[in-house]
Amino acid sequence: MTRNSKAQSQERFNQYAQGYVTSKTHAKGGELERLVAIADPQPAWVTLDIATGGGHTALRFAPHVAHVTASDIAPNMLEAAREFITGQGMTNVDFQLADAEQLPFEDSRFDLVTCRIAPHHFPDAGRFVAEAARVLKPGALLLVQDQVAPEDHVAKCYTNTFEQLRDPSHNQVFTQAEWVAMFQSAGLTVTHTEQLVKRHDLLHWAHMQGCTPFDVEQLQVLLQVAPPLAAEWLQSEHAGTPEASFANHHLIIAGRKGGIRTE
Amino acid sequence: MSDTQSVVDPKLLAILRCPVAVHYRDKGDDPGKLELVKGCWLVSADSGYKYPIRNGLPIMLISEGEKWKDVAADDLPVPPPAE
Repeated sequence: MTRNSKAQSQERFNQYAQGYVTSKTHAKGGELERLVAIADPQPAWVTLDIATGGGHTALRFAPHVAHVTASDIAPNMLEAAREFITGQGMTNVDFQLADAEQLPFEDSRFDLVTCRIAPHHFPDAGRFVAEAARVLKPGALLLVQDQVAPEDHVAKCYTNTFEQLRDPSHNQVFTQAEWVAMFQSAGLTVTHTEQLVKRHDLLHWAHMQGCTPFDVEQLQVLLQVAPPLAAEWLQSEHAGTPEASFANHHLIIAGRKGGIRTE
Repeated sequence: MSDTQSVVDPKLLAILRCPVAVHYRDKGDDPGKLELVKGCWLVSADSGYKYPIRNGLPIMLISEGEKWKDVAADDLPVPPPAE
């Protein structure tokens, strides 16, 4: 994949930064609490939140740990996250602009690395996982939540096309099996997987990324003509009307780096 | 300049590394260390890449560090120019 797709992500998330701070999808408390429960953060931990976006994950973990480093590739997004998090009174979070696939940190530094609802934008998600594994301490955890694709190849391609139409910076949603393989390739032992189903109002979802009326019309048509396994996955309702909605699916996956944990 | 420096957390500066040089295998046990120069630049002696700090945010992108590779540390502009 090219530098252009990174530039595309930077451009789009610079443009729509504030929408992600206020986004219900990204701020959803229950899911963030689930991530905290899986990670079981400890007061002495130093953690990293990659592609922090609106900063919701960094903010949720900050009260549980000694320090959170929040990174993102889009300057406006990072400014919005900094304003949001410092506005909540948090003083143990720092911020820097970084590429998820080329992390600017020393090896074996973090007790936990999180990344939520972002890797589907990355040009090379496998490289992100490898970099996250590099900066984890031995025995520490990588915790990722992202969209997940159906295992059926046609349905996977269809849902990726649907997402790319709404947001051209969307690169690829992977299947659970592909995620597990990426973790294993990076030397991480998968300790947890679970899937969530999230419903979206089509018009609101399209509006978040500034879709044109023509884009929305195309999305409506795609929902109506989806092949059987894609239709089953998308679970669309009221397609073709202003009340159109659909589901996308998320995977939470955690993997532990080899070696003995040292505090 | 001093304002820019004061808002960057020293703990963050301690763990940041040049994203290029951190992968070097011939620069000792901890490659890619960064030196704070003029209060608003992070300079890697290992790679020569130089990363600006803008509005208190270290810009740790390889594309940005590469732009300033051939500029001597003494000649780095203060404050770093906007993108």
